[in-house]
Amino acid sequence: MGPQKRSTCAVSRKAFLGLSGVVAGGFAAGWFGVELVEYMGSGPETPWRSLTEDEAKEFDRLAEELIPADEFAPGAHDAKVVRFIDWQMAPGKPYEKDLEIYRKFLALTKGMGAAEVEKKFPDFFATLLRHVRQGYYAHPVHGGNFAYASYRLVGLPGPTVTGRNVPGRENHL
Amino acid sequence: MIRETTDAVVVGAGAGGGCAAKVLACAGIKTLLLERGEWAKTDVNGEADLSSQRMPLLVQGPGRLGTRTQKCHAYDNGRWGVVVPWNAACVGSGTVTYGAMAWRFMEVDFHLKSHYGEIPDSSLEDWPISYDELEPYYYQAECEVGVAGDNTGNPFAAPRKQPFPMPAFALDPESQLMWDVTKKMGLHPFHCSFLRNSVPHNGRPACIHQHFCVGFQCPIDAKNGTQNTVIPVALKSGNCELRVRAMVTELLVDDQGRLHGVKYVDENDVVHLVESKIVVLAAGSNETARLLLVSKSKLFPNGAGNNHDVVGRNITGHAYVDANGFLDRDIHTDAGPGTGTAIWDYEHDNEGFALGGMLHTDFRYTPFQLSGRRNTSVPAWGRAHKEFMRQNYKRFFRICGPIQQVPRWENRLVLNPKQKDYWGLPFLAFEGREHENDFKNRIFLANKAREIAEKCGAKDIQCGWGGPKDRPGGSGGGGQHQSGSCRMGTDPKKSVTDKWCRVWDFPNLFLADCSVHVNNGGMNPVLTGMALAFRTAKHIVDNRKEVGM
Repeated sequence: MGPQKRSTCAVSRKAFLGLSGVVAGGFAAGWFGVELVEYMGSGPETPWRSLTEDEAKEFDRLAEELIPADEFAPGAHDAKVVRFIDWQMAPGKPYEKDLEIYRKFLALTKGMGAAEVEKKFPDFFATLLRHVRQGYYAHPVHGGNFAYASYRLVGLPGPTVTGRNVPGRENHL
Repeated sequence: MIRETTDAVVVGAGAGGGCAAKVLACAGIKTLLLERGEWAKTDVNGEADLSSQRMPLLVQGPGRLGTRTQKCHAYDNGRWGVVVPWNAACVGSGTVTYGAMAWRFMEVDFHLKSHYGEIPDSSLEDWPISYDELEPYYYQAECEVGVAGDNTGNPFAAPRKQPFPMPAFALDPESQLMWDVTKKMGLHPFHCSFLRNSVPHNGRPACIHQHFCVGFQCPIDAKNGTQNTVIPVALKSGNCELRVRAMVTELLVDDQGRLHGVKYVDENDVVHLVESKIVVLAAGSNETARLLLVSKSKLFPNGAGNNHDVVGRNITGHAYVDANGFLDRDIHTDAGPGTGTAIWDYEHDNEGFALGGMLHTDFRYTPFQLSGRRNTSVPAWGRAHKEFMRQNYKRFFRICGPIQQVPRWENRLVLNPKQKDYWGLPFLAFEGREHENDFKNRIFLANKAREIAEKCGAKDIQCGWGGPKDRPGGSGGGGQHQSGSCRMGTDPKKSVTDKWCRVWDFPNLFLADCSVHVNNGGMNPVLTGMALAFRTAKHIVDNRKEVGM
């Protein structure tokens, strides 16, 4: 069997949408599966779960500078990256211990641009950048990447749309 | 405390345990399958990439048991650190989320010492069995769990008596590029084989080419693990009972040195003493060794089957090398999950060192994974980095592969003397460093990866050769593909089991996981573990009278 051989897709799109728990058809359904809806509708965004209002604002400002909005996709602010870090530092969550770091440094970075923060507090900046990337580029289920902002940025189709595709039939090249 | 009785206990419902339980139960043997995790569910594990099996940054993947699954690492400076292992803890274990590459080891992999001679500082040995003896069981695993593949074009593969049960997957464009380029280089590209359905198989659908596969549970069950193949068959036989959240903490060995069952703790922390005629350990190379080590008794003060201090030794894993770059055009399409072409040209008989490894195209990166990789000219953040992500996500080109490590007597799992886990058992810890040969092997293969990536037109290539020289453990126990901790052999002083994977000192204790591997192949080991489990279980069934069943 040569490389030209096509594998067949046994699952219809409808069947797949059902399996993945998406409630409505169409492109939008691809982006807003039940997973996302569940997390989107989880109430008011203040009070924050770990940060103070002030810290959240400062984090948000720096995050937006690290990943700014442009003509192609929202930036860190609209992608709710601050919500990602706030959730993940809540009591019992994996980054709980990092709250101390943010508490200390977000009080010191006021008025500084990201480049200055990078220069003055390189260790803190490395943590910040890592978390901002996670919040922006990882799956929305973790709290950031609102409405799949980064997936749209890089041209990654929603998971349910991907499910329809069969090599040789997608015609993207 | 609850006392109960059964014919056979299988510890661990992963790759090997699932296969063994199926064979035992279908032969009419009353089997109790004990699993420390629970059933994995897609609605829990979903697409959460930061808690997927491959990138457990936030929490572990399937088997989020927190403190119930921690391990230790012994560092060179004498410090002990608790690590969260990548190992899964659920029904099916790693077979739920693996990339599902399915390889038969090469014929030479079963007799490396004969082939290469004595290698200093190594514990290289020939296996007590040949490829031919395992061939029918490889095929059984390929059919019953389900493998798609095509060896045409791979002159290095061991001979098959039957064709693959499913045809190979079509190549994605990145794999097609590697195929064409390596062919032109005079190499021998061939189709990766997978425990994944290219066509409907055994009542489950064909793969729908999700973007992300490795690290995730398949939402339509087109990826074949023991949890959706052999374990359901075992349960339907009526002879197998599966208990989840059941942590086996000790093998019951009496003062005469006889194994008569296991002790396990259920989810309510109630202790069960299970009397059993035979016990099959399939907890994975790490935990199988730990269970033997912690099961101390009058005649086995250093652990069951460990009077010659072999249990836990000779562990290997797989060090991976890679080459990553960017093409000048989009190469990825909307179909996943990538990985189609492999080459085995460098598996053996390379110049200047022993053994070798495989190279293949890799699974699609998630956007977060790519965010840490960039052209050196691109800033790490800001508008330019975002633009880099936008332009290059579909241009990212990557090939990688494992090297076959040289086993060392000193590379081993030990019990941490200071720290205890949730059940009061000593943590497992890893000791040792990689063999000198592994370093040469890594550099060689990484350079080959770079050469191929360059010829494919990739720019800004970053090469990974698996870390610094002499790295601790050589990835032996903490990552993935662990094997060899209880190797099979012909000499009870140098091995833990005989050629039937029976622990030397016990007529009724068998191992059914990759712990018995004498070496780990330069390819993913799971199919070999499954084949051995099928073979061992058949041996038990064929000789059931000898163990009183």
